[in-house]
Amino acid sequence: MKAKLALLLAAVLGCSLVLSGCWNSRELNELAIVSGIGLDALDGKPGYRVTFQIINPSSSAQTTGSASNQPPIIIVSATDRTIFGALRKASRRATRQLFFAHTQLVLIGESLAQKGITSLFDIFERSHELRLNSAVLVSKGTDAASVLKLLTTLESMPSMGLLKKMQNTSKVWGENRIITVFEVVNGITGESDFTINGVEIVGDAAEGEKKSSLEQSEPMVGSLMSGLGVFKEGRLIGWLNGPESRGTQWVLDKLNETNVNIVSPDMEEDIAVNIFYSKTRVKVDLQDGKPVFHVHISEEGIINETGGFVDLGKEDELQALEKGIADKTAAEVRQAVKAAQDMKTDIFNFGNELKRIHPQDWETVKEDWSGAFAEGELDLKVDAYIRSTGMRLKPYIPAKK
Amino acid sequence: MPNETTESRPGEISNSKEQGPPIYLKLEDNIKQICDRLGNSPDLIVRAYESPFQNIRVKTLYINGLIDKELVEEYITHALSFDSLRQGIEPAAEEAFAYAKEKAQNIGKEKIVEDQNSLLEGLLSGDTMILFDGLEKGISVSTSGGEGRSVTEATTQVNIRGPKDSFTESLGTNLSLVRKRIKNPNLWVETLTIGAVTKTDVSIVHIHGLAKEETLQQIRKKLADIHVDSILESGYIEQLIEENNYSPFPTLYNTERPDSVAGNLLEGRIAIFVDGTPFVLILPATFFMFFHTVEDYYQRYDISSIIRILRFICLLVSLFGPAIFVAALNFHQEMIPTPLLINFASQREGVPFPVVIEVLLLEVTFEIIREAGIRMPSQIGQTVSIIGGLVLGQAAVQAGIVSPAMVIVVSLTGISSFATPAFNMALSIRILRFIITFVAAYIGLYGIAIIGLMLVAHLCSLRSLGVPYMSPVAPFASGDQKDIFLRTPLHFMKTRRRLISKDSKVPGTTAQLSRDGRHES
Amino acid sequence: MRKEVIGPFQLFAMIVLFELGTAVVVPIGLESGHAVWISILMALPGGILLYLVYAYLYRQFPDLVISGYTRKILGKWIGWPLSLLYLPVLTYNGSRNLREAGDLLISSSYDRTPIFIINCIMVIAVMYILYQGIEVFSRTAEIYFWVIVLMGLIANFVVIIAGLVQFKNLFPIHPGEWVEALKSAYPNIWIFPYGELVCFTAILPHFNSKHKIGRTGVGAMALSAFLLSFTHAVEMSVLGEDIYSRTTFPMFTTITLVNVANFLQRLDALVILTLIIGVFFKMSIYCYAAVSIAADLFHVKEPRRLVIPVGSVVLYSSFVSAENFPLHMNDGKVFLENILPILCAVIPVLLFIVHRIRRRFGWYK
Repeated sequence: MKAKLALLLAAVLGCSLVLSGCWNSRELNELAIVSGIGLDALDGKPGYRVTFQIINPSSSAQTTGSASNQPPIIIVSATDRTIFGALRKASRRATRQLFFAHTQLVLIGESLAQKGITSLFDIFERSHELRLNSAVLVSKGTDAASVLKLLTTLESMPSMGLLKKMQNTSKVWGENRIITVFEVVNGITGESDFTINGVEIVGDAAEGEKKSSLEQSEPMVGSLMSGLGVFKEGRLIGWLNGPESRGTQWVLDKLNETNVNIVSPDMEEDIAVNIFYSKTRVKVDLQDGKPVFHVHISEEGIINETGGFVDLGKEDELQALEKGIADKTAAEVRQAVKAAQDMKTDIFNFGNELKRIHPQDWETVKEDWSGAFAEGELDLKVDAYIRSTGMRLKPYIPAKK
Repeated sequence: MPNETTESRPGEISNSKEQGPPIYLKLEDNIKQICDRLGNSPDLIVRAYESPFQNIRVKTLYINGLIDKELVEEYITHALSFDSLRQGIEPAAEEAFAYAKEKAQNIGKEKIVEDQNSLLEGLLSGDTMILFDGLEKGISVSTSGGEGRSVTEATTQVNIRGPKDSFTESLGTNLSLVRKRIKNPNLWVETLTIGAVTKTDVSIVHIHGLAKEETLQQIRKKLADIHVDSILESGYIEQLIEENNYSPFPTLYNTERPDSVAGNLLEGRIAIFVDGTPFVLILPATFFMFFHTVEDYYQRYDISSIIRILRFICLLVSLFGPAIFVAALNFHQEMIPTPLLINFASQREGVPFPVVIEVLLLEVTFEIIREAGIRMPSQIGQTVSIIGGLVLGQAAVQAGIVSPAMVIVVSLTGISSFATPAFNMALSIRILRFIITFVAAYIGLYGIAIIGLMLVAHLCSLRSLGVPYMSPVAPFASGDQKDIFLRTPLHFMKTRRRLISKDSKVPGTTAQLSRDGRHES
Repeated sequence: MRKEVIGPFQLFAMIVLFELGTAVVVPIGLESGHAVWISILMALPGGILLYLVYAYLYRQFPDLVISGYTRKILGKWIGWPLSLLYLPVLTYNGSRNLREAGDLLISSSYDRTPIFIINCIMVIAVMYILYQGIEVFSRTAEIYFWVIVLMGLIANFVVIIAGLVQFKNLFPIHPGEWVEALKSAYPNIWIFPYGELVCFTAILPHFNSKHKIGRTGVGAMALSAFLLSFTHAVEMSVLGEDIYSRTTFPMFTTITLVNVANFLQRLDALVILTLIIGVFFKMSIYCYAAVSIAADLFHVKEPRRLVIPVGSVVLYSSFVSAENFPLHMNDGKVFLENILPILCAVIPVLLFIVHRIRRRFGWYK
């Protein structure tokens, strides 16, 4: 009797569980995998135009014979007051449900960036699909949608290509670094301001949407990582380029590897030094009510190319070169700090650092930190070391008489 | 020749035999009676002998094919000619009987039978009966032999290194194979007969002083409690004495390798030999035993350890492989790295079925191919697997019915399940795999985690003759970990498993096994 | 029937799993800011003292669950109703754990699945294992102890090699923050998770080596405190104080940030498994405690028969107790501050004192 009852109970429970179905189950071919999201401002209206770059799986299918001429991505866009609203509205254009867990890139159009991006990222935190480690980019001089529409060579997925471009350049050149949603959110909530990578289009954007643009060895259009957008209180207020942006990375201790061309004092030729290690220590304190930024950089490099004769066997020559590297670094850092101070924007986390170490001091400058930052003094110290000169000591170039 | 060193102690546990009608005085009556009871079977051979004495009439009876012919011939020519009795006057029947019985001792175990039932039983188990006219008793000489498979290489538990012999269908041969390995008087054998119709000999083998007395007692009781008509294989015994009939997991280990039996006996386990099958049961069995092979001990410890770990990985793969694949593809697409996901997505373009159907389709196909291959003669079996595996898989992918990744997953799980050395364990894992896949298709990773918890709980609730199935991992015994996931060097293994053997002393002292081994709880 | 026993290592594993349970996945001790990991360590001594009180009571009455000795110490007329209090609290706390697990699962992965189904499946598993008895449960705990340790090691290792840990999020700790840390340690962290060990008063009667009770428990608590503190320190150092304090599921957010060489990424499964396993064991222990106290109070011979009723009550109250997750958290705060301390600390300490006095003056008959 009891066993029967238990059996009945189990059967009823089992049926009710099984029959009610698989709520979260979604087949892969019901999903549209979004690889990039573009956010643009609407002219004169509040709200966003959200562009989704969707991966087209059949373009890379190997088994079925139809590895067709379809483009690898499809662009869908929608406008709404909220991002979520837009992505639901996009269903009117997309055959499949948009799936965001693999979003590699978030592109912000320049005009939207200038309007302010503070409120953009809540959905990235709140949603379990969108991830905090998607990279964020600002499209420089164009809207986000047109960057997303570009097709790329070498990488079949444009977003992935752009991400790899960013990874690659931040690894070996160092003007940019990967800035993720997570970092941007931390930047918005922190006391300092922040920067976001810029990307610009080189060539005719309209041409880049066509697959034909890929059918030549030198693509007619392409995207280019360019500089860092400076954000103050969530608004894009300017750009740092070249040495300024590299100087910024230096201060932030985000530099992996880069190349410094130095000019030796008594020679006019350029010497290329590959910086392969760099470590920056930052301390901030108040002296007479003014912030002082103690920045100490130690870097190590390898001489990779010399344009003229240098006797690299000699210690004093090497020391001169080391000093050259240090000076060059210091110059770039000063340039970056100067640019930031001119914009009254603390993009170096100095404010956070001061608050963390000296909370009392922070209280005194909290009210007008940007002003205090602009007044601040930079105490910079750079130690550079040459660790190797490559496969040769002396170059084959003869010494000048 | 089976060597009859079996120490039988029938007094302790014998199925209560009913005393049949006594043997008649007249020889002819007896013969007729026996012929009748055997249904005039032509394989009953009755041989009469012209004895040199008038008053002594002797007949021998045996069943053709069950006896060792040479033995019988030898016996008959030497003993029944009554050589040494011939000089004197005509002996009494009793005297001739005693003489024949004495001679029979040279041949094999002999005993006096006095009732027809034991006479018949003896005949059927290969004894030769000598009946004297005018005596109400006969001599039963153990001459069993006849045609049997000789010792060959193991077919189900193959190894690279290690002894190649395996058990046969003959109980005597099997016991001798073990005894040849353990030359110790403490190797004790108890034999009893089970099965009302088949009267199958079943032997309990243990090493006295190593096996736990309580366990033995338990086995004796369980075997004595078996009341069935037939025992045709050790599987019958297994199913009749195991504690958890409703568990998919086997709680008794079986092997056809004498070295495996010997090793387990030395660990304090108990073996049950059943006449007529090469598969010997070993108990108590624990879960981890099913993933060990004897060869682990023959190879170097480092290699064996790695291989053992590999087997446990295979266990996880074959249990959870398709389930995780289904869960990831249907529920947790965010957990797959992007390039891989794009790859899967492009493979799945055009596949008409949901993932779970695809898995089941392939899994069932795989099981069909496997089952068909097993029952085929070995040459055809290979053809079946080639056609099934290669051609079908390839064609299915090209037809776009299944995705290539799915074929990989299913074949990997299939192959992984073959990496479990014990076939019966592999079977239960295969069944569970289907259940887990269903659960995964229903609620994804959460379901897998929950069913995993329940599975472990179930495993922990099992016992094999009182020994927790998951020991020594749960309950955890740190001293016994040396031979579970890893196989540590032999000189580290100084103690026996606490829960299984009675005496966990250093194995080197086995030679001086004492009768009063320490009892441990 | 043979009495079920559990060994020292099994108790150890159960305590660790219980302590880690939900505490390892949800943010705790928010008041202390980035010093939460210190608060966890600060609360440990208090937790150990409390545990020693339970252990002392167990040694005095090795065969009785808490309701049994409450009646012995305070007399039947006070003891019985007082012990009755434990039932709703234990079931409610169990249901809270279930609810938290359900909500976290829903917000992290199962957004379209009804919470009833999620919780129902969990409760079925809990009922199954409790039906098998405490011995089977403790053995399962032993195995999963290793699973959790292994997963924890992998998760922490991956987070560390991904270079996400930033020590500047943890240090320096200013004088004011030490006080804050202490404030959140007592009573909040002291009670949750340490004080919740009061559940083990229902399990201890099965413990088989009485003299090891102190060592085992204290060792397990120290280990779990270390693991908790370490995990929360890692989470804090990765997320920073701001995000840590806003997230409902910091461990999940932490692991989603991992990306090692574009290959080791998307390890969310590890965290979800940790959550499921932790909650499963914690809830099972709550349910077990409720079952055995109820069996003791109402003289039920076969406690197993109460498993299904208790499980059903827990399941039901898990989704009717609060309308949504924020409300649930608010309820939890009130509950943690006002009700739990009475049951976890006040009553046991009271029992301890009364027992000492009665024994001192020989007031036991």
